[in-house]
Amino acid sequence: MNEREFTVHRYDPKVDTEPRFESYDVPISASTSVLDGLFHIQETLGENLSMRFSCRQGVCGSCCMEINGKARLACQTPVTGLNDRKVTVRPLYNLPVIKDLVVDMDPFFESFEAIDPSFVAEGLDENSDPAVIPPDSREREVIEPRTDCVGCGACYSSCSVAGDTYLGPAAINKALTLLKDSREMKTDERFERLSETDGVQGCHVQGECSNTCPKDIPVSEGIQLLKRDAIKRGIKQRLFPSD
Amino acid sequence: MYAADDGPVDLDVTVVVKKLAGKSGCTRMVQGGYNAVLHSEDSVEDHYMDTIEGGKWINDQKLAWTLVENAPKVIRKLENDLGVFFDRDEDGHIHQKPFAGQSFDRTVHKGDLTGIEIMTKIRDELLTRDVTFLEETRAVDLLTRDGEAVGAVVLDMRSGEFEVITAKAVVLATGGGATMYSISTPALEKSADGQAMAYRQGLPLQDMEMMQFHPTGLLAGDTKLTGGVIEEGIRGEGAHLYNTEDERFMEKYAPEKMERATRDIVSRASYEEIMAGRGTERGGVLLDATHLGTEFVEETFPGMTERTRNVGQDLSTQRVEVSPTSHYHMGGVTIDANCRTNLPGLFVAGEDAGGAHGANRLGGNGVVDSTVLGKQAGQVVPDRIEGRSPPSYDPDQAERIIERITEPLNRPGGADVYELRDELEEVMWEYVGVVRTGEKLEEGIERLVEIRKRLEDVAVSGSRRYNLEWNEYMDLENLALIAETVARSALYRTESRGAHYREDYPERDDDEWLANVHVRRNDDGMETWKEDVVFSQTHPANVDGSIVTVSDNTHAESN
Ligand SMILES: Cc1cc2nc3c(=O)[nH]c(=O)nc-3n(C[C@H](O)[C@H](O)[C@H](O)COP(=O)(O)OP(=O)(O)OC[C@H]3O[C@@H](n4cnc5c(N)ncnc54)[C@H](O)[C@@H]3O)c2cc1C
Ligand code: SF4
Ligand code: FES
Repeated sequence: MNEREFTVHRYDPKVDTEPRFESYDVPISASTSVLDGLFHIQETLGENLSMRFSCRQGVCGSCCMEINGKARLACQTPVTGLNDRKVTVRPLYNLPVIKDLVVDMDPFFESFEAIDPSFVAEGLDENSDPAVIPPDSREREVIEPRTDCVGCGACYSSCSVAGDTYLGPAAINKALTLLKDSREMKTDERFERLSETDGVQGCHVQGECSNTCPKDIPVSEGIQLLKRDAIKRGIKQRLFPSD
Repeated sequence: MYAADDGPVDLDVTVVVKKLAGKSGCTRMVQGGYNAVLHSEDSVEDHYMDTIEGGKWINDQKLAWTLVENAPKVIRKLENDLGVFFDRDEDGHIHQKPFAGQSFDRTVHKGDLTGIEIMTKIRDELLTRDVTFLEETRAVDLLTRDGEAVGAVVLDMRSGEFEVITAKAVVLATGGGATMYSISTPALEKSADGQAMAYRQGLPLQDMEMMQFHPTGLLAGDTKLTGGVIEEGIRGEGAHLYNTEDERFMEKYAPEKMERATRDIVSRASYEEIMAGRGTERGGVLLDATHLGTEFVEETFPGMTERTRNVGQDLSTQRVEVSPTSHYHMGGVTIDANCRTNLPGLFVAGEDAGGAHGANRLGGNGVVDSTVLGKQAGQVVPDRIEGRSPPSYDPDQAERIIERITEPLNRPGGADVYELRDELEEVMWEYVGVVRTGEKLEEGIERLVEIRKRLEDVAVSGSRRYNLEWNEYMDLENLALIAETVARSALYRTESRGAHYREDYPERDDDEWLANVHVRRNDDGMETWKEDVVFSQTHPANVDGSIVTVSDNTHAESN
C-alpha cells in the first residue's frame, strides 16, 4: 500500500517547554485527506493527538492548519494533491496553541466582534417581507462571493501583520459584506471603526490572504475597495460636512 | 443557539457547545435549504399535509403544525433581523426550489451552502450579546433534585476540568446521533448526548426506530468523507440513479415520482439493488447528473461538485458512487409544542426531540425544526422560570457522574475505544439498518448489550487535556445506549412504515400501528410500549384530496 510520512507538531504548553515534531507512516489512497491521515495517527496508531474538526466537509472551518507551509482545511486537502512526498502539519500562526494542532481562535473572533457584526436594518422585522433585491444588483455582486467565509482563520495565519495592530482580513471581509448591504444601517459607525489604525490602513497589501483562502474569497481586493471607499468618504465629509 | 438568540436580552444565558459555537453541528451543514410557505399560492395547510403524509401519519400533529406555522416567520426573522440573504429570483424575490415529497416548490436556500449563512449570522449576532459561550465544553449529564432539572455537569475539554452549572432551565439541543451507523452524514462530534442524558433521567424517548437514511451518501472508500451527503436538490433538478446494469431502477419502485420519491423509498430501492448484486464493488449505486450540463451542475451545486473532486470523482462530468447513508433521527425525547418535557426545568429542541416528523422527515424540514423549536424554547423559557427557585444541586450526584466518566482514565489497560466504536457502527448497519427483520434485530440487540458491557473495560490514554480518545469514550457510551433504544423500538414495531422497514412485516398496518413506540429506562433495563397517535389537527379518514381540517386553537403560544 502507498504510504506517506506525516510530520506532526506535538505540544502541550502546560507540560512541554517547547514544541517537537514527530513522524508517522500513514497508508494513503486517492481519497485520503490530511485529516484522514491524522485520524489514522489518532485512532490506529493510538497517538492521542489533539486536533479540531466537526463537519469533514469543508463547511465548519474547524480543521484549518498549516500543511506543507500553507494554511489549508485538512479535511479538504487530499494527500495525493500535495506535491511533496512528505506531509508536515503544524497549527495556525498568529494564534496561541492550546495543544498539538489546536489553536485558541479567540483573538481571531475578537476581531469580528470589533467590527460589530450584528445586523441592523431599519423598517424590516419578522412581520415584513424580505427586501426585494435582484441577484444581479451591484451590491449583491460585491457581497455574494464574500459570504462563503467559513471562519477558518487561514487568512489570519498567512497575514504577516494580523494581531494587535491589525484586525485581519476575515473581519474586514465581514465588515465589507455588511457595508455593501443596502438593508444594513450601521454604515457610519463601521467606517469609523475601520478607519482606526488597526483597520483597513493596517493592511500592507501583500495579498497572502486571497492566495490562501480555501474558499477563494477575494479578501485582499475587498480591503483595497474599502480603503478607497474610506478615502472617498473622508473627502466627501470634509467638503460637505452636513451631508 | 437559536433559542439563545430568540430569548429576551436580559436573561443570563450560557451556551455550552462541544465544539466551536456556530461552527459545529449539522445546521451548519445544511445544503439543500429550508421549507417555508412564502408564496400566495402556497399554504401552511399544504406544508402541514406534506409533512404529515411524509411522516406516514404518526407525527405529533401539534408539533408538526407548530413547525409549518412558524417557518415563514423564522425566515423573515433570519432575513430581516439577522441579515441572512437567501437566493433571489431574477425579480429580486426569495427563490424557492423543489424538494422531494412536496406539493409546492417551497424550499428557500442560499446556493448549496444554506447552513453556513444561517449559523454564521446567528453567531455574529450572539457575539455582540451578553451571552456566555463555553466552547469545547461538553455537557456530560443532567443534575436533578426533587424531580426537577437543576443544571448539568459539563467538561471543559481544553483543561479537562469538570464544572457544575446550575440553571433555572436547561435546553438540550445536541442534535441527536445518526452517527451510530458506519455510513452516516452528520457532524462527527454528534453522539446522541442529549437523548442519552434525558434517558438516564428516566424520560421517555419516542419513535427511536425511525432513523432516516439519505439515499445519496457519497462513497469514497476509507475516508471520513464517505457518507457525506449529495443533497437531494440534485434529484429535484433531474439527476438519475442507475444500477451497474445501466437501468434507471427507480422505474421499478416508484414509476411516477422516480428519483423524486421520498427518501425512504429511494434509499430502500438503492439498498435492494445493491443487495441483489446490481451495485458497485464498494456497495453503491450510480448517481448521474451529467445530462444537466457541466456548467449547470458546477454553478448550482458548487459545494458538492468540489467535494466529489476532492475524492477523485466529479459530479459535473461523471456518474458518482452513492449509498444510503444514515442522516437524521426522527425519534427523540417526547416534548410538547413548547419544547417542555416531563421533567420540570428541562426543555428539548431540534433533533434531540422526537415527534414532529413521524416516520420520515421531508428534506428541508430539519432546519425548520431546529430554528422553530429553538425559537419556541427561547420564548417559553423566560415565562417558565419566572419566580422559579429550583432546589440546589446534589453534590453527591455530581460526584457520581464525574467518577463514572473518569474511570477509563484510571484503568491501566483494556479494550480499545475506536475498535469498539467501529463495531457498534457495523452492528447497526448490518442488523438495525435500512431493511430489518425480527431475527436480525434480536441478534443486533445482543451484540449491542455486549458492546455496552465491554465499554466497562475501555482504557483511555493520555492526560485530561484536549483528550480526543476520552471524548470518544463518552461519545460511545451515549451512542451505544441510544443505539439499543433504536434496536428495541425497531423490534417492537411489527410493521413497515416510513423509514422503518421490516422484511418480515413488509406492509403498513394502520389498524395496529397508527401509534408511536416509546422507550424508557426502568429497573430491569429498557421498557418499550406504544401509544396511539392523537389526531388533534387532522384525521387520516378526513383527508380527501386537498381537504384538510386544521383546528386553530393550537398555536404554541396558547399552551
Ligand atoms: C449534511 C447534512 C445536510 C443537511 N441538509 C439539510 C437541508 O438541506 N435541509 C434541512 O432542513 N435539514 C438538513 N439537514 C438536517 C439538519 O441539519 C438537522 O435537522 C438540524 O441541523 C438539527 O439541528 P440541531 O440544532 O438539532 O442540531 P445541530 O445543528 O447538529 O447542533 C448540535 C450542536 O450541539 C453540540 N453538541 C453535541 N453534543 C453536545 C454536548 N454533549 N454538549 C454540548 N454541546 C453538544 C454540537 O457540537 C452542535 O454544535 C442536513 C443534515 C446534514 C448532516
Ligand atoms: S476569508 Fe477565507 S481564509 Fe479567511 S477565514 Fe474566511 S474562509 Fe477562511
Ligand atoms: S472539519 Fe469542517 S472544514 Fe474540515
